[in-house]
Amino acid sequence: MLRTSFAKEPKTHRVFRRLQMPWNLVAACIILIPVLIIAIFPGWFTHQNPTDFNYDAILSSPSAAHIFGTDSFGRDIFTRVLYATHLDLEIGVFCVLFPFIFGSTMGVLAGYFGGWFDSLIMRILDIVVAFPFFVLILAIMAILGPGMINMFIAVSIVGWVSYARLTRSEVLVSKKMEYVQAAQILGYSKPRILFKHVLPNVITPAIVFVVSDIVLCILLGSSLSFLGLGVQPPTPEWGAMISDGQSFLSQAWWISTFPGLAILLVGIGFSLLGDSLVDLFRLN
Amino acid sequence: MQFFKYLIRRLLETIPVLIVISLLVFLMIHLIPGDPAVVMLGGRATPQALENLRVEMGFKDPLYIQYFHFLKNLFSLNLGNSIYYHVPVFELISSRLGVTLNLIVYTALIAIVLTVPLAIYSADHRNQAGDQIIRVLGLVGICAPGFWLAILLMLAFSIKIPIFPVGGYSSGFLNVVKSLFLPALTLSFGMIAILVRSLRSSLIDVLKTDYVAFARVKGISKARLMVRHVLRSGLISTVTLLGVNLSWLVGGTLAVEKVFALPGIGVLMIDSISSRDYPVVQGVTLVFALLVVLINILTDLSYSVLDPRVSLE
Amino acid sequence: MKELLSIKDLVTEIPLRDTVVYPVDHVSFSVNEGEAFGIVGESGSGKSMTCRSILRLLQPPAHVTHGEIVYDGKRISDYTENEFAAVRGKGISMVFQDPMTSLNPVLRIGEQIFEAFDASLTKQQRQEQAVELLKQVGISSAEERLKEYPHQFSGGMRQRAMIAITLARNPRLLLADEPTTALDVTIQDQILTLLKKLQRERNMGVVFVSHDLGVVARFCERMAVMYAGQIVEMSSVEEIFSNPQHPYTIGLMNSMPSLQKVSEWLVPISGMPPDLRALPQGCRFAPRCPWASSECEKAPIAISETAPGHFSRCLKAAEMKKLVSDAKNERHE
Repeated sequence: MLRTSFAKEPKTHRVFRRLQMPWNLVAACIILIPVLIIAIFPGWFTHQNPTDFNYDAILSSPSAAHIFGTDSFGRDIFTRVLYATHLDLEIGVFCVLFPFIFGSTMGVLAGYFGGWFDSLIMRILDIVVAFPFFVLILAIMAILGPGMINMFIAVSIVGWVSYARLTRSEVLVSKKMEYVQAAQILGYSKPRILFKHVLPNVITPAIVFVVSDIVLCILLGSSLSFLGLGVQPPTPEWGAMISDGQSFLSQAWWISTFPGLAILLVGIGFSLLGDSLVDLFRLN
Repeated sequence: MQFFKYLIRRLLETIPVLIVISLLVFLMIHLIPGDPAVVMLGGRATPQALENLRVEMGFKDPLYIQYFHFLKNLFSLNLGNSIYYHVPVFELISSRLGVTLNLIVYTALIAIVLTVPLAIYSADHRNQAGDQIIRVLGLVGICAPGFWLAILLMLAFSIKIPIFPVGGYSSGFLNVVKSLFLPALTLSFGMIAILVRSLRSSLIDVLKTDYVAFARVKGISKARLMVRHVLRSGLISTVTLLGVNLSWLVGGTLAVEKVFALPGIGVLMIDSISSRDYPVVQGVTLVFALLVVLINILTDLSYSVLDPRVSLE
Repeated sequence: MKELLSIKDLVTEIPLRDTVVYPVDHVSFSVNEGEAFGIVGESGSGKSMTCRSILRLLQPPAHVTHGEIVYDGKRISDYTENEFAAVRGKGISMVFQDPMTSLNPVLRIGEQIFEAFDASLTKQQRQEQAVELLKQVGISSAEERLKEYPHQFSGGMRQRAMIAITLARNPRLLLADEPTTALDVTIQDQILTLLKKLQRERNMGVVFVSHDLGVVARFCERMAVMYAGQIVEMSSVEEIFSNPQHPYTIGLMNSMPSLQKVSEWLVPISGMPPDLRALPQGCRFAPRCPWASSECEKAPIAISETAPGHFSRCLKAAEMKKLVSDAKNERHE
């Protein structure tokens, strides 16, 4: 028997490759589509209310009546987790919206037109990057005060920088590409070159970044709520629920555990989506 | 000799950054809408207390004079006094900085120790069962919130199976190792996930190269091949990533410190924000920024040491 | 002359998305002690893959599925990975095409030579032998050079250094995969001369792989021509040049500037090298062959001995001489 290569390809892989299915995307959809439905229509999955106190069933463990158990007020954890879904999804989306639009625009303009504008953007980039991200957010929230809106503001002020840097370097690379130079020689107007030739290739890495940024923002939002600086009670939010559960950890582990699983699941869903986009756009 | 010249130049280059950092930190209090004194003491403070605070903090002087005083104080390590604790900020920070630094170093060590073997195993057994499991675990490590993992670990190894202390911190090497283990492990999960993914990818790329093939032709042992050739080249890009991750860690210890009740500067920051103790917030922000600058310099230096192609120009 | 290396029916496959290709398709040849054997072919003909298959340097998913490799009387194709590691470097060594990518950029040249030596040598001995090797390959100021990095060497010097490293363990067989292709023409000559000298001094067998027929002709005593994963012609260099028995070989000779006198026309071979995923049913060269007939396209052609010691995979091998002179006469009219 000949043993000649470093490693042999597993048989299962031949089967998977033959099917040519984007497994990442499939898995991402299996996770995210139900999550989306739950976010919009939490009532379809539970008949209880997130604010229903039930003093007969305080700190009861997971059971048929309360799938995820109850907290110190007797509120059903399962219901609370479901009703909190839309909040973290909103946090994820709104935290990337402004940075994506504003940051990408700035980056593209800086990269394409260069000159003093580019230098200005680069200086701002250097300054913002010198601070640790989380600390900067905290500092801004220290100034503005706690709350979700302030969190969006803080993330917007700091977050656009990453998009600017990303799109700027993509534009610089594109500029050197031959098809752009060909377009310039052919005398196409600058806006036309920008929109039809440069933008499509520059925007795809940014979109992939958006997806992984959503994950980061959800983690950020839940972290801030956990610390008491984000979403304020009594609004149910996954991070805040985890914080509530910490005091009861030895008696009622379920209060902190299940909201965390929710965050994990949503994060995995978006990560898989991002990976499938990378494959789709052939960015690796 | 060239190395020291590079070091000096790098340090000089950070001076403009440091100036900007000091400026921004200084401006923090003044960016808050409203009268700074009222913001700090609250709406119910007496007019006399407000006036005392204004005099003490020098709020009546024009901004540039205040900035000048601020810088002057910085150089004598005077960061003002804490409103809440009534002690110099510098003392507060220096008594707690050690805990946070220990935690960061501990986390980095665990991450490095675990990343290398995991990445080598992954690259060697590419796409087989073990590699897939590691990748899934990596995904979990990145997407799971740190504070949640901290709580789970505490539940498992401090409460259900009491091996480690539930929280708190005491000095003495053995105590530090014990009390910081779970926090450091928590923080390292995210780092390990990212680093293994990067190192594995670098290793796979390196394994494909001609120079690894040529090294195998020489007939050297697989172990030596892995360490001297593959790892050395593969580590370079991962080191930069390590530096970036360490920067994240600088602000990232906050939640874990809170969960495990560690007396570090992260907890100090959180509490000070809640109690609107702005001198402390300023001071901690400054320290954090300085740490990041330091880490960036160290990363650059180690990169130039690892890769002789990078000229120290 | 003793037979040093014998390859029988070597097959290497690469599983792709929806099919399997065979870049090395039942290749057989042998190399004697001290002999230089050339393998000529276009890119994609399988000549490099053959060398890597022999030394087990394939990248997954490529792997050898069939064949026997006998080196120095031992069936090394049956060896375990550990046993084979002993053969590499010590018995059979290999030189790669691009010295820039073949030398580890972050290690000093000296270190890369030292680690090729036997573990039993002392540091002193290693240093001495390394200096000696560098001198043998024509690198001056050897002591200083040992401390330098690959990127500090010129292209030609890097190739010399690579050769020095390969020779460190005194291999009896050297596989040279396009060793001069990446170099300037003037340097090519120097390296070839060096290789020839070293080959003679050490009585080393050499398998010289190249796309340049002229270079192979100057260096080797015997040679094979490969096309689409198969050997299509094999004999002594002299035989092949005086009496080519395959249209592809003839095509190669006509298209090489180094082999033509200025007054004769260069005639490139029409068409493209075949896609291994969609090979023709019959002769693989038929689509590009000026003399292909319907019989050529019917079934795969086996290789056969058309003259003593001369093998060809062409059905019209016997009439090749006449076909060629007819074509020449036509051109002159």
